[in-house]
Amino acid sequence: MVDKSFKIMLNKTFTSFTITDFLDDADFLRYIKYNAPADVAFWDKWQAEAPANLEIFHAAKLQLHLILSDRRTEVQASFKDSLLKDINFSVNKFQSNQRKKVVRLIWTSGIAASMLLIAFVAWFSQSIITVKAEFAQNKLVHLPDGSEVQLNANSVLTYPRAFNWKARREVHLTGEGYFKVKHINVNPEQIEKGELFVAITKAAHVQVLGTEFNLKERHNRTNIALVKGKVRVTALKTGANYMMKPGDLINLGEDGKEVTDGNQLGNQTAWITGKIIVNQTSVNDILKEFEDLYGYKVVLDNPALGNKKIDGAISIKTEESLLFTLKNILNVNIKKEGNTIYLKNRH
Amino acid sequence: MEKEYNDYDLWQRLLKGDRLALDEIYNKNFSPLYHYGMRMLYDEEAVRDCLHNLFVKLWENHKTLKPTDNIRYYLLSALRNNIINYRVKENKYQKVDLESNEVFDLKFNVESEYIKKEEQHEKMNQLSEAMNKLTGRQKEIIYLRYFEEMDYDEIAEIMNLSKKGAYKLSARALEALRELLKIDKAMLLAILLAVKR
Repeated sequence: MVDKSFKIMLNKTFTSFTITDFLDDADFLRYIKYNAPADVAFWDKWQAEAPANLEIFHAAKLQLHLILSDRRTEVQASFKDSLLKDINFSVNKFQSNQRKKVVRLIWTSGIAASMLLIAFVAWFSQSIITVKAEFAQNKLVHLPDGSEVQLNANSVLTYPRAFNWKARREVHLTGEGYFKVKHINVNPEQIEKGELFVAITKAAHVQVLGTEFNLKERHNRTNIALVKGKVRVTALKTGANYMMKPGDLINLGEDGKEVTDGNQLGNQTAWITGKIIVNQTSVNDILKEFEDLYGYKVVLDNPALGNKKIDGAISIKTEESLLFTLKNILNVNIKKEGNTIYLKNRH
Repeated sequence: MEKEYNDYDLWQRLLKGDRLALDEIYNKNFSPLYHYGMRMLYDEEAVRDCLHNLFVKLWENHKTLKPTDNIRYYLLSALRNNIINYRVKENKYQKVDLESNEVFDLKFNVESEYIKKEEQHEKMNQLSEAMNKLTGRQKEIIYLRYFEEMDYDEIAEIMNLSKKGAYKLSARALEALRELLKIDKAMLLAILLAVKR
């Protein structure tokens, strides 16, 4: 280091230096401050050559001596050591606080996360999904297990959001729906959790493993028509159980008992194709169906007309087509006033 | 060169969270920090507070510090900020005249070093007193320049000056000194003789 500086020193023209130059010169400062032998030798030699600015050199030297004459106040060694101890004490405290903070953060974030999870689970397990088909509207509902329910107009289907997590697959129905229940049971001898499917109306439980059936619940009457497979129906009011085979039809009356008065629509599942198939069905029953599906009140001018029995297929795809058919069969005029439809005899 | 490399290395160890590096940095730099602090505050307890704060903060923030190859300069600069904050805080509680913010302690004791003669003592004292009339900032720049051997770039940054401003301040300080030196030529010669061994 000294050698290198020395070389630089030789390249300088100190002979033309002013006081400021000297005072700004690192080599000069080092010489005055530290008196290194190499530096002293250099400057002794330089002075011996009697340069023109020798006096300036002396003045600069004097000034620098003056400046450097300030002496440091002595520090007691104990001060340095005890301060370092204090610093380390504070640093340790900071470190352990930091660690506690991290632990607390883990705790609080853990608690927050589990509360969130609990809230989600509570919501998920309690929450219920409601699907409603309005008047004159059909809806296809896909249940989480892959089952499907075709909802007829003016019907409501509800089921839990956690459908697949429940002990039984449970849906509630008001109105009418055609069910295609996915069969997930593996061993018929042993029915596992979630394999049983239950459709519930006000009056009946329909328990199935996997079938197609029509369930209808209107005006406190429940109709179950089985298309495929096997179902067990429990009438809630009487507690009676019915095992149904494909093609079977069960009608539960207002008192919860099975009725066989035939006062019903002939084919329970024709609505899916947009028809009702009637077989010695009274006009009143047909009109009731119309009211249920389209939300009108139908008033017959001649009540006797209501008892008239009809056979055949009637389109229910639109209210116009249904009304057109009735108009022709019953030979009446149709007047619509708001939500009421008047059927008047033609004279 | 080697010293700079060591500084960089030592600093890197601190940035990586090496507690021993903090001790090493403290031990290596205590002296210049202490003396600089004492010159600005005259109060050992206050200097202690500022140094304590400086090193604890250094550790608390070690993850976000920038690398440096000149630790002493970095710490002096940080200490200066600490001291300025300390002064501001002190001023809030007790009315200290604002000029005290400019105070810097640098005393020239020529007589004790070079002059032994009793009759010259009085005059020498006058001279020192006159010299001590330099402003705080003038003294500070002289201190940083000649005691800490900083270059003007470093001084400018540490004292919140432009480089040009630092040159100017230094020149004015030295000029003031020189004016004082002209007071008594005889005195100058006496000192010169003394210096010459």
